[in-house]
Amino acid sequence: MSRFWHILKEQLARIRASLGSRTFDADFDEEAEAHLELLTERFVRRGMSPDEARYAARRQFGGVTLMKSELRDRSRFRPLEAVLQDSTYVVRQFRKSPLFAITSILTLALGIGANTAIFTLVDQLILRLLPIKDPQQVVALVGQGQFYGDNMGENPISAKIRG
Amino acid sequence: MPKKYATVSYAMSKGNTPDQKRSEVLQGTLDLMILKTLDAMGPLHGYGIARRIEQLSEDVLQLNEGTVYTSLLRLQQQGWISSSWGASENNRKAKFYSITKGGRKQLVEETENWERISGVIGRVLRTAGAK
Repeated sequence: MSRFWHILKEQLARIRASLGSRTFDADFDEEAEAHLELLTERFVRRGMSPDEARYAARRQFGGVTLMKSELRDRSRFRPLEAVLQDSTYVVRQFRKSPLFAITSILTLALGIGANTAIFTLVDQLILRLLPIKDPQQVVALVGQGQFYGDNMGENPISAKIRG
Repeated sequence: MPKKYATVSYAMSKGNTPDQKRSEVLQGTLDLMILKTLDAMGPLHGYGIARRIEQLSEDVLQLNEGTVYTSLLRLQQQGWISSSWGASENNRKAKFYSITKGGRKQLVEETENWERISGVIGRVLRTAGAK
């Protein structure tokens, strides 16, 4: 139970971090730089040359780049950030070219409207039962066999029905 | 038997160990050590924490110091530590971390947990060796 609670807390912290404006990357860059510098100074005091010391400091710290990307992934909720970024990008583009925005919105609106209208029609005519009494008793007549010409009024089935 | 489970997973941390006599730091243990350090020493920055752990471990533990920051992030996300900007020894901007009230509570719980688990493991290892 407490494990679940910890995961929940971590995710909430990540979402909060993503919604906030603080850039974690810059924070950690600064922290890591300060850390490496202090380590380097320490090695220099122990008698290393500055180059050696710098190298030893990097080794003791571990991969800075890898650490950065891992921390970035763990500190924030990336999918939320992606959605927010995309939405602000869209709004910005529309502001930049309003004519294009209106055209694309109208195109989408008309497209969706036309599709809805046609679907409503098809739905009523074909998909739903007809608005008559006992619709399940209605049959469709299909002619089979050979007919010549286009005089459908003369076809034998309708003649038979007419009696 | 106590029915509480360990909330810290004692997974091995990455990184190679060139020296056989030096042990790798267990990941969950690093969280615990950092909590304890902040509890005992007051606010510290990442470098200070690494130095303190190095000093206490008498060079037995091998630590990629960057992993301290992974731990610090984890602890912050759980609300067990908080951070604020200050100036380091060499007058650079540095982030200082301090333990919170919730962190102290967690520290007590985790310490008990750790002692229980290491006690059990120690007992098991001793029995196995007595054969």
